[in-house]
Amino acid sequence: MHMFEWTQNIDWPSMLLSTGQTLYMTIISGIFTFVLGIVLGLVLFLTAKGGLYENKIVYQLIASFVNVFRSIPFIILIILLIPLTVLIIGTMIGASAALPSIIIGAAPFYARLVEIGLREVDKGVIEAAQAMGATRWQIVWKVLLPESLPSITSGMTVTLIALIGNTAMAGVVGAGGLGTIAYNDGFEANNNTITFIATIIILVIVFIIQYAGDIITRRVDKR
Amino acid sequence: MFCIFESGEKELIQLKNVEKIYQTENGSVHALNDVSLEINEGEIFGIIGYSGAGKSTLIRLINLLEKPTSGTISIGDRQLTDLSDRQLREERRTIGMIFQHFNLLWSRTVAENIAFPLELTKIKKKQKEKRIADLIRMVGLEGKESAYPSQLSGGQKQRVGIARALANNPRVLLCDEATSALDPKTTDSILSLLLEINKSLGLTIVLITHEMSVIQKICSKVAVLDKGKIVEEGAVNDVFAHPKQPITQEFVGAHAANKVKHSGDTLAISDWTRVRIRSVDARLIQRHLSSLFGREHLLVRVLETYAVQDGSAEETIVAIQGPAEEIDSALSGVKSDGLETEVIHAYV
Repeated sequence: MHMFEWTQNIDWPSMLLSTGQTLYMTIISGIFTFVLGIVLGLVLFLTAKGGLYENKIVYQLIASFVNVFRSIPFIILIILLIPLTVLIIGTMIGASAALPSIIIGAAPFYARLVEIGLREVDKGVIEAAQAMGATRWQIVWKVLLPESLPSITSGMTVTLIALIGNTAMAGVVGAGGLGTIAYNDGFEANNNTITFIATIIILVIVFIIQYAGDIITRRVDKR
Repeated sequence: MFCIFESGEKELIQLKNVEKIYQTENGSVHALNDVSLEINEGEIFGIIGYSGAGKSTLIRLINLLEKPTSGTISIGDRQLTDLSDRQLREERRTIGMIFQHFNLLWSRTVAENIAFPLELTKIKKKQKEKRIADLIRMVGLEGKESAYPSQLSGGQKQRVGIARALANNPRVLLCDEATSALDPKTTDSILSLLLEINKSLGLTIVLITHEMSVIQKICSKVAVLDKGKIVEEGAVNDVFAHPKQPITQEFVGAHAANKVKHSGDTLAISDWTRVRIRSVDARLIQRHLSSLFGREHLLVRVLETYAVQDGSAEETIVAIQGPAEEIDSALSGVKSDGLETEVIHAYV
């Protein structure tokens, strides 16, 4: 028996639609994850012991939030967040409905990567900025973020790729996208070709992100 | 009638009974113990000490990067310890600082690094660009404006650091081991640059170092810091000539020994006596050297001659070989004429 029956029906328009849904989920949740992750990462770094805004309570609060949501397996997180999703999006079916859980799953992960990147910023440079009379806010904008930019971009690349995996899993709750088509029209309908093609498309997206991420990281890294 | 300030020297920086105690998990560490210092306007003041003596804490107290546990710090008529955070930030713009590891932003070019302190104040773009160009010229980095720090040598990086520190026309420049990461030749060029800036801008410079050669080359005054206390202080000439404290003698001795080691490689060390001759009058040294050379039973080699502090005195290190009594009588001749001589034992 052949693994792939090339005569099997492939519904290209719906494959294209699914690719579009996957890209939609990736881009929108990517943007939110980026912003939220940097904010959380900064708060973690700044409120940590010895930080510019040292604050034990805020640090513990954010750190616990990050740790909890980073540890929950994504498939469980989706189910746990159904009430929240319905509250925000109004439904739990469709690509948009997948966004809250994807973002809440990815942002804490990215926040930790951002925090690690910020910790690598040379303490001497921060001290120099203080000696020049910079405010804390100026230190954040002019020193911390620019000096950790390679970590921020390479961390985002890693996060985006993990996030694509989650968009496929979100297919379970009817999010649509390549995960859904690979499962419903491919596996369930015993049409391996569809599964195969969906996989190829996901791989292409991942490679493009990795490639672009590497180029950007190399370009911003002047060390 | 009385005169408060001798020869127009005006006091600029004052530390009064400063204590710094760090609380650590293993108890408290007394980093600085009752330190009082007065630094005059326009002078280059050196603070020397071994690592752990409290030097870097001391220099960071001057711009309040470290807060004193007790005591007061003032620059001009402003008491820094009384300022609000905002006032302190403004005050810090008048105090430049350079660092051992330069502390440049690698993400910025040379010109952008120098622009950093200017961005913190509201300054017009045109004015800013002109200031940056002036500073780059002042530190001799023309053509490197758009280079990144990673493309520069250590000496060039420190020049960027100096330009950045001078951007807002500070009254004081703090140098935190600014030459310790540089090779001897680059160290010399950076020290000359600092001396030049001190002379042309009348800038007061405070530097910390563990090398006596740095003090000797550019400082007019020196304080010796040991275990958080200032144990000796004075004009560099005096301290060099008559070190009182054992630790000061160690620094001076090690310095002289270093000189001999560097210059005397080709001479067998054991059978030569090394003598340092020092005078404010270079011609007097020369006269005595020629009389030394004229002695029949002695072999004499000049190992090194160097100016001490911008030329106010000169030192010559000679190696002499011959009968001990001949050497003694030759040296007493030199001494009788008011020159300082010192047999150097400290090398090996």
